[in-house]
Amino acid sequence: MEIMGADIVRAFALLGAGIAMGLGAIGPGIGEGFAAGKACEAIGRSPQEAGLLTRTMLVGQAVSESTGIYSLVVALLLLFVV
Amino acid sequence: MKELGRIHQLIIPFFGHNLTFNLEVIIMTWIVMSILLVFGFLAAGKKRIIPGPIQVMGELFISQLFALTEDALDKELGKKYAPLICALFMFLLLSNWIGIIPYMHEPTKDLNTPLSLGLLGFFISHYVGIKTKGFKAYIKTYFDPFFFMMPLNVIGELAKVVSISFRLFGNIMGGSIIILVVSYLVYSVLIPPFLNVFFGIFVGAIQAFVFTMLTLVYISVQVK
Amino acid sequence: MTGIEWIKAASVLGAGLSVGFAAIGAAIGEGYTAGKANETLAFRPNLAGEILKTMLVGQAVAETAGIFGLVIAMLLLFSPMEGKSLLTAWAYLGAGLSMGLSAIGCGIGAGLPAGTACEGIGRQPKVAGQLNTLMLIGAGVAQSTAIYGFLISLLLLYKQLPMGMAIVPAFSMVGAGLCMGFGGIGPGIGEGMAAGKAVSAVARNPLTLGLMTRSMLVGQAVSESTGIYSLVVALLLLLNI
Repeated sequence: MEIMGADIVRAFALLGAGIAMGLGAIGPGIGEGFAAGKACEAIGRSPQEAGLLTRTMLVGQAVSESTGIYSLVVALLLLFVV
Repeated sequence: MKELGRIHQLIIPFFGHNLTFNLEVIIMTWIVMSILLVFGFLAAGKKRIIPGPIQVMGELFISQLFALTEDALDKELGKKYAPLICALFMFLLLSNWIGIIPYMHEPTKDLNTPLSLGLLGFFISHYVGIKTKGFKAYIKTYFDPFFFMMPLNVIGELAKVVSISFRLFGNIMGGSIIILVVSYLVYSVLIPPFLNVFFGIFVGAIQAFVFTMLTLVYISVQVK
Repeated sequence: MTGIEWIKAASVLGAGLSVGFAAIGAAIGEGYTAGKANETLAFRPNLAGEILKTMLVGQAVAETAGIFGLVIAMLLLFSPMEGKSLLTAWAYLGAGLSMGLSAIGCGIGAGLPAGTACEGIGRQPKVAGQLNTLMLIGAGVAQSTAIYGFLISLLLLYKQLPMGMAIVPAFSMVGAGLCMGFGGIGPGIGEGMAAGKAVSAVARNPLTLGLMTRSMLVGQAVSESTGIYSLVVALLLLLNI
């Protein structure tokens, strides 16, 4: 079995893409869940502000998701560019 | 287990290209649409003061979903976009539930259906955003908080389409594959009906609602 | 060692990883539920039957991801190995990692709403039915990343692989398993946290049930999105072979 240098680079790039997206998904998942939980708690306290609270929750979640999106971008770069 | 990778396809040569049609999905989508049309005619055809059971069901659906839309959007916009939300929810609900019947398959099990519905929601939400806020204010949202965040904001918007459509696809596809594999393992004794109830009815209803709700939320985020 | 022995070794290792990691999450989630139930029973002993019922239902839901891990382990142990290519060993390793790791989050996530439902029944015994329904919806949605992990595992198990050994497909299959596996942990826990807070909010203010179900589902759906990106990357890695 011959293994070329380019093959090794490609193989590790694919493995790296998997690890990047996998580990990158942990933080945003927990963080967004935390935001959603607190928003539910707040809506329970003042149901008449539900629209405002939902929008604030979505904005906060969008910001905490940004690291997940960086991971996605890096994973796609490793998949298709390297 | 042979059914796992099986797709019925119709390939038509067209000026040197091959057009691939996924027959099963097309037929199932048409079946779902015709059932919905018949339901609509039965529910709204003979409107009576004392409604029959089908009319009650229709009124329940429509009033609940109209109230939901008007909660999320304003009164005016809500009236305008509630029919879309109603149609989306009813189509998705019936599509996810139809797999319970033997020999029927969910159209949402194929990625093409959720992806096209997700793209529909994406284009509608951005159209509404441009129309209500004006083009300048719409473009300005992409340069928040700094101007060099623009590419990431665009990727974030596109990732919404991916996440909304793959969520529906993954749940329905995963459920149907789990039912297939477990039925094969236990020789279709005792367990598959419970799995059908969980993955077919419960997960199907929840994912249909989540898809509809997220489309509505994406529209409302663009408006405000 | 010959090829088939490597495949056997990988299938045994994959089965162990799958059921072992899956057991972590299920056990933590069920323990949390049981703890909360006991805590509530200490000051509400007359509600023992109701709380016990909720605890058992919640634990059964938290167990689901563990059962997925068991199913994958069984499939790995008893799948035919004669005449398969050496790449199958890597596919089996990826399948075990994908199912096992992704089940951790879902087990913990399903345990959180079940625990707060027990607590909420102690607070408001009259709305026990509504709390149970909300808990089941929240825990059911929290299972979805385990379902994605199961999907990737099955795709890896039943993939037609070319004969011979090459490093690129081997690493891409292990990468797909790691991607979906780790990617399932965070969203599972996050969805569980959202569902738990929603259940406790309904226990405080039962009139907000409909509103709370809606907000909970939207919050959970958004916190699931990184899990879905993992699914997409894992599917792309599998297409790459």
